[in-house]
Amino acid sequence: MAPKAKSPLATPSKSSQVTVPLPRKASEDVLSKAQDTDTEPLPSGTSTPKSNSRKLAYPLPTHISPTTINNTESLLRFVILALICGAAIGSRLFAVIRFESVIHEFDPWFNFRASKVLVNEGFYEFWNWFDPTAWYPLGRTVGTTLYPGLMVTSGLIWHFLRLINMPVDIRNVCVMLAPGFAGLTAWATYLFTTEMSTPSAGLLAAAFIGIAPGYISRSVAGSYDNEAIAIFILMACFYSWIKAMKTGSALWGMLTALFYGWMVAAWGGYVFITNMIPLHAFVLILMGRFNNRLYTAYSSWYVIGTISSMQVPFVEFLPIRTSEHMAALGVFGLLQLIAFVEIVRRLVPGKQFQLLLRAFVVLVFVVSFAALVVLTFSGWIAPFAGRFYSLWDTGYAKVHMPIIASVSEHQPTAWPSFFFDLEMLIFFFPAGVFWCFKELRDEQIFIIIYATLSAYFAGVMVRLMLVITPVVCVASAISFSKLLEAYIDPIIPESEEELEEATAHQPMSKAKAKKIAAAAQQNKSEFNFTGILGGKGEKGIFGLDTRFAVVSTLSLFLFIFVYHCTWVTQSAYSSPSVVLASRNQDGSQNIIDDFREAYYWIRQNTEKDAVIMSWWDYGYQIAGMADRPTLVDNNTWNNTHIATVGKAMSSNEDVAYPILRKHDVEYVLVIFGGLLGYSGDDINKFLWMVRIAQGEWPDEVQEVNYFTQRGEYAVDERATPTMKNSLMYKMSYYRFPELFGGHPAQDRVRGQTIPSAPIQLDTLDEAFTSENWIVRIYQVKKEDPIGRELSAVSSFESGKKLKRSASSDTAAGVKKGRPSM
Amino acid sequence: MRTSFFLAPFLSLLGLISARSSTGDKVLVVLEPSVQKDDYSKFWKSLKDRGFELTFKEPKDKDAELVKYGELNYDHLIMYAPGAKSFSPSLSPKSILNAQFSGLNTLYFLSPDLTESNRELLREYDIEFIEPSLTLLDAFNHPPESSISTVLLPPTSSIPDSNGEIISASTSSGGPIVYSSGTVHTTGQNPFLVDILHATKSSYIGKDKASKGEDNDNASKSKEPILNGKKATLVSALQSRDNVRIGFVGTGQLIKDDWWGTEVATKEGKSIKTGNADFISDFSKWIFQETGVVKIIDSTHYRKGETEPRELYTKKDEITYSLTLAKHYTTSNGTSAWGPFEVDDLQLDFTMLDPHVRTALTQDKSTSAEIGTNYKAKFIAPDRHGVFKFVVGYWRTGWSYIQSSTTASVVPLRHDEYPRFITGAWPYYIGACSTSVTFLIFCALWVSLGETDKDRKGKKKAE
Repeated sequence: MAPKAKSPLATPSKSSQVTVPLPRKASEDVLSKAQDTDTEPLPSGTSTPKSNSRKLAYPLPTHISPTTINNTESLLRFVILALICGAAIGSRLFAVIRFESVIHEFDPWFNFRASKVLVNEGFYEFWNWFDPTAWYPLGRTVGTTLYPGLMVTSGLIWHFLRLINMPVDIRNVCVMLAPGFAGLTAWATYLFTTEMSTPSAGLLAAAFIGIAPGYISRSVAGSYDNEAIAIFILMACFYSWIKAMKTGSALWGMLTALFYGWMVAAWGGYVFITNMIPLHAFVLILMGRFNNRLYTAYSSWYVIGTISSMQVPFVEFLPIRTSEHMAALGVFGLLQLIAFVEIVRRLVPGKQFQLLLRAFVVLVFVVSFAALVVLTFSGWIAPFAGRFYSLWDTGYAKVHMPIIASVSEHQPTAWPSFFFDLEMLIFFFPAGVFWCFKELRDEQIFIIIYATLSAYFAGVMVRLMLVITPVVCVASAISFSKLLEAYIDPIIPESEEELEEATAHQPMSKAKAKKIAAAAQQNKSEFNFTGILGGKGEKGIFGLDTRFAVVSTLSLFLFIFVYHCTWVTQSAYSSPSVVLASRNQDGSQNIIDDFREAYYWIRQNTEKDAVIMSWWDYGYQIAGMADRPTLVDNNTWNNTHIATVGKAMSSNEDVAYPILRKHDVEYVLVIFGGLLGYSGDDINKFLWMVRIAQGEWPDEVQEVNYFTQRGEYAVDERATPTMKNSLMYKMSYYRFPELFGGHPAQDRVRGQTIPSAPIQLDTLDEAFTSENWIVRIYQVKKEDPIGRELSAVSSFESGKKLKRSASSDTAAGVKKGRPSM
Repeated sequence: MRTSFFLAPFLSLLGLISARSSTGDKVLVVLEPSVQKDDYSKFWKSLKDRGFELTFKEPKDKDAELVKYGELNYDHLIMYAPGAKSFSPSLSPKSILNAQFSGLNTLYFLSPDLTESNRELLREYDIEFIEPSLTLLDAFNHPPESSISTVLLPPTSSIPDSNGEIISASTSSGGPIVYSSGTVHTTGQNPFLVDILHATKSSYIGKDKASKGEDNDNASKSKEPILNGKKATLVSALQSRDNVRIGFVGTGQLIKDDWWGTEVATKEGKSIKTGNADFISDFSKWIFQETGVVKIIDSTHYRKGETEPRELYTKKDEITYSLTLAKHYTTSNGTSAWGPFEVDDLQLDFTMLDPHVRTALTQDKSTSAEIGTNYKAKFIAPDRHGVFKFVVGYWRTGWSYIQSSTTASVVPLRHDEYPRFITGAWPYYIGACSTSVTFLIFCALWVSLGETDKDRKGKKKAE
């Protein structure tokens, strides 16, 4: 599907519509240089006869009227865009076709559960929803601690579908939401890029974003997460901001604000917009490009946007209380000052006075900045959140917030993943930014800032690859279309004299012509090094062979890009991760469904209020699929609680058991991949549990104790006693060697041999182990009714006889404290 | 909770036809072959008089099944087999423990010649015995005509005061308890163990020369700590978490007909009625769940102005928790019944990990329960949301443990429950209104007083 979007550019019949803008552009460039104002666009009709007079590399049809060309253009654009949307949706359906219509991964399960509450119980119940099963026993006030945008969006869609008599299961709405919005993203990107460059660049950008793996990774069908709709809102918001800034219309400013409000409701990454738009405005001011349009656009965005963002319960007063939002406020104030000064300057003559006013602006700016700093340090304004610091210092999180660093998507990006996610776009991206520099219109400055910021952020966190993807698509589409335009353009350049003659022939005033000539002269001296794209006639493309060579190479790039994107999408990003797939020897697919097997076991076989303890990764899944209370989940808001679970997992049974009992834990769930070679298991995550626990109890849990003397993380014979006695190790490898019937028990993930000595669990009973041993569930034993230690109980059960009573070694007659019941 | 409340009258009806024990009346008596059943006839008769059905078995009897099809066959067990070296599988230590976990009350009678297999079982309860064949001796307190191994224990100094609910006051002040050729044990740190009877200060441990005629220097060589006085426990009891009661009596001679209701001569030469019958009656009544049994009839919680329990309370709600407790007693015609249980030290914890509210449960005289006593506590829910538990834990020696835990959540205010139009917000109301009004005035002025098209044209010309 996707190649279709680009193929028209290569065919001669459509080349006419692409060639049209170029001569116009070239002259525009010169004009804009000369006049330093917006040029009135030349009617496209004028360029056609002009080009007729030129030498052409290949013949163009001459008898088509401009209106037909225009109509065909817009029809083609519409069709191409529709096909791009189709491609964007289609390529995201691998997951549904390969597996089934199922919610993916971890966070989506929570979003899905929340959507069900919203749909079944109404908005107010959703808003006031207190979930006693999460973070047991702390509970979670869900309604006011989430970004409701996603659920409300899908809820509205669900209601709308019912309204038009299409009763659809909410699950299907949730599963298909991300692909649907991906289609919209392509459309928004088209509009955005068209504002930056030409519609053909817009179509390219739409095609790129439609299938770029960097975005697909977050928006396949079933990946029901905030990012699924956030990227669309981001692009729509940026588009309307550019529109507002260009037209100075309060209506577009308000649209920007509404999209911003939606974004705030949908995704924590809204802070990116909150800082991106002020930064753009600030840079424009610094460049001396302040005007009333900017003032209107920014003011209407800031005021309405801030008010609408404050309507989200989770955000509330953050926009005026945290450092992340202060840039927007500061720029707002600065704009008011400048506007005021501009008015005063216009009314009051006198150069000294003007100087004084400017000094006043600077002074007020400095003073208010100082006030901001003072407020921050005095605690009125919250300083930057930890996640924010980790953007500047990649080592910060590992030291101060292991909980954040433990998430794989918060790790710094590896270089190959840039190529993996963006393929050739990453090479065209700088060229596109260069083009923006070259023209440097207000909106192109936006691209430059966006590119710079997101390129940095994407390097810091894997997760932020998502933010860079749209700008990469836009920038590389610009450069790509420039290249194509240059090489498809049939005009063969003339010598310099001819060019000047041609310009002189154009109907315009003498003064203008002079200016143009002067500018052209200036251009010549300035851009000698810019080569073929420098806008100078004599260095254009002459032969048909060159055109053919370059255009076919570029087309090849596009085909490879499409191939790569499809391959990445189907092989890397379409796994639901609740269901795993492997290949049998004959090539057939083998579905590994251990997670759901185990979750349904819990659902069927345990009490409704049985508390399940697991590492936080599985909290949302247990809540969503097993419907049982959990101690910790993926909403990692309480570090201490997570550290408590980490401590229970990493300590020996004597330490862990009181923790389990105190938190009313009835079942403990661990993920073990050793049998199957599933590398995302708990033993591999174990060091993070240790680190997080160590953060809270540095005296009781120490990371060093889990490494061998040679500093290795071993689970075989070399494992340290602390490691071997830890609850996690015991639960993972309990009865594991028995499976091998005397042969060495091989852990397929770590590639190590597990000691065959049986592991004894005193405080836990094995309750369930899934088919491939991925999920293992243990039941916590009750205290012994007659007051023995549980280790004594299990040795009694195993037939050992007591030679001395438990307290015969200690002073007799001293009773222990009252046991907890 | 409510079902048990309605069932209570039926339960008490059942009590009319069963024994006075609150749990049941079937007793299995396991006697080792060397024990002559007839030597203890008075004890058996007293049990039968109290309404128990006795079944006698031997340790190796195959048909002595404690549990059948997952149900207890007997409600109580009297184990008088200290010398038995092996037991039938159904009476093995494991099956006895398992039966006790499901509610079998047990009374062990022991002797100095305790076999190792018995000791191993008893060590599971954290009880350690002195070496075999040693007995408690007292050269000062024994009947003149008997050997020093027949120790006379004056109840006033041998029964700890804390056992008031187990051993009645009349027994504690009654005649001496004859403790003849019995063993001594120590109760460990197990908090469920209670000492019932301990040795006197003048007693010591050794071999009875008179009966055995052997040299008595084993005791001095022993590495055991020297036990006497309070540390030498003779009778002890264990009440498990599930209120199953297990008693350990250091000698079976205690229930022998010879000392049951008979008189004994003290060293002063007086003849006093022995306290054995009273002591064992009190003790066995407690073990067999006749005395000291309390149960929760009903517990409920509700918000002020309501009567039904809620799953969710709002922060700062006024919550009332009420609990009805009943004590088991025996009516004058020998039937089982439940009556009021009045204490003044009950307390309620409102707990989430730690108690957030701890308050006294006081007797609620305003409402009278059909059975038992009502207790009530009123408190304000903490300003903290989460899953809370109403926890009552009453742990007193001699009484059943009273444990109750009910879960309810405390949630924040709903979006429409916050107070509106509060005084502190007036500056904001005024600010919002004045800004709006000013804006309107400004617009009106702008429209009416602003420059007209004519003016503008004129201006342009002037420029």
